[in-house]
Amino acid sequence: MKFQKSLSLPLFLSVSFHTLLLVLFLGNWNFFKKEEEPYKPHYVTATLVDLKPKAKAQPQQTKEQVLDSKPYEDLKNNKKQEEQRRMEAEALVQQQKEQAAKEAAAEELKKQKVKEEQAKIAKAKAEKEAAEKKRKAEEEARKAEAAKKTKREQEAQEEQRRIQAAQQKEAKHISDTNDEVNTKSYEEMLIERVEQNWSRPPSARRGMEVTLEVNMLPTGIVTSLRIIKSSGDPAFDRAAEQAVKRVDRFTEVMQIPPDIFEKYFRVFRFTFSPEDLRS
Amino acid sequence: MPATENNLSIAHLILNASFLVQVVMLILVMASVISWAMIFQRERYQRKASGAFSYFEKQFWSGIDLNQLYRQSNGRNEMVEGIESIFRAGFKEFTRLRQTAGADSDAVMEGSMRAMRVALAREQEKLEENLPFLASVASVSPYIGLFGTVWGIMVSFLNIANAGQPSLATVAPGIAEALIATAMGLFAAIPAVLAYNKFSARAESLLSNYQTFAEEFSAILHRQVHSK
Repeated sequence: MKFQKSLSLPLFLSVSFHTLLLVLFLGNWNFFKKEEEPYKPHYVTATLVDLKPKAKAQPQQTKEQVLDSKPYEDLKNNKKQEEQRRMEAEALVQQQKEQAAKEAAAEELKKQKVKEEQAKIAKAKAEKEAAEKKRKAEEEARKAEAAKKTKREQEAQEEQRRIQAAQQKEAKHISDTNDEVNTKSYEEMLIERVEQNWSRPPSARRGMEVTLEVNMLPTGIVTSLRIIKSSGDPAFDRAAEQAVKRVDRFTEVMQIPPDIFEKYFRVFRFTFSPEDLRS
Repeated sequence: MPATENNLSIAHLILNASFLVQVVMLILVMASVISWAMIFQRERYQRKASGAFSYFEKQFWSGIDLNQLYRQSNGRNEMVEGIESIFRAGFKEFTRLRQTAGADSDAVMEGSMRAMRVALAREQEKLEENLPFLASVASVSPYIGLFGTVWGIMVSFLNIANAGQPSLATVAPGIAEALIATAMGLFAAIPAVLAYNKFSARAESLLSNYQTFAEEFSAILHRQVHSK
């Protein structure tokens, strides 16, 4: 019996095994890479409400709720409450309607009884009366219908108003908190960045002030800058300009929500004054 | 900078490695390929040998006439291997010595046993063929990989020193590249160790089976010699 001893088949097996491993390994590696680099767009969801002009004055708000730190949840809760209230009101209307119908039926019954009693005595009169009563009942029903309609309309209006109020409240909240608080902090961040890169020239004197206007992209790249108000000292102006140029890219700007960026930071003004200088 | 980071895959690292590290990697890949080829070959050979052994033993103990068994394998013109070659060597020597006049029974027994011992030694050699290579791959390839790593790290540190601005971004690729060599060394060594252990154990057990068979066969021959 001859046992196969040639190396060709095992060698082929081995080489194919290694190439398979290699392909798997490299393939997997690429897959990992792909998974790792999802680009996350910032703040896509929450900004739509904000884009409405802020200038629109807030109408009389039914009741100002205490704004806590979670306006979205608040809004959601409000909406839920409104929904509930609306449902309740509708149920009430339904009940009223039913009651009216019941009353009408009872009246009809009573009326019939009366009619039977008085049928012999004054048929014509009774008929007239009955007609009148019928008319009255109809009128009543109509009235109820009208009342219901007006109520519904009112409710719809109120709901609309409430939604509006909520939106405005939210907008107000966002603009209030973000615009005033966050804008401040963003501003401070930018100023800090510039200050780190600012070397005050020896010719700087107290009272000098130079204002720069900087145009930025949402990525934080400075596209252009110009001096709006010169300090009178070209060296000081140049130092200020240089400080902004040296920053080149404000990475902090990427954290700013787009609406606030558009409002306050696309064109941003730095004011340099050597206040903290001794000389 | 982010673009280069994204390009930093293992293939990229290997292609950009320094020459010596690449040579080390090539050696390790070759060692791995060859050792795997040997693993496949050994697996096949030993499986066949043990299959043949159990088949032949069954035949041998089935009460078949030994002459017939001998002639049966004569009919095939292939080379005889495994247990059968031991049987044939012993039986051939036995019949030859019996036919020569004046040979006493002890000489006959001794001659046939010697013939079987020789055949056994040949079989052992065949069973354990290539195992030394696996053993040396198992023990040496981690060192080769380590050498590549040390060299790669040395080179990358020298580069950093020359660049003068050490940062993680400049240090990391060189070290990663160097570490691939160690990974490859381990990759070659681990299967080789496992295969070596497995195959040497199996060869040993087969050999002891052969030896037992040779002893039993010589007992039968002994009985034949002395029964007359």
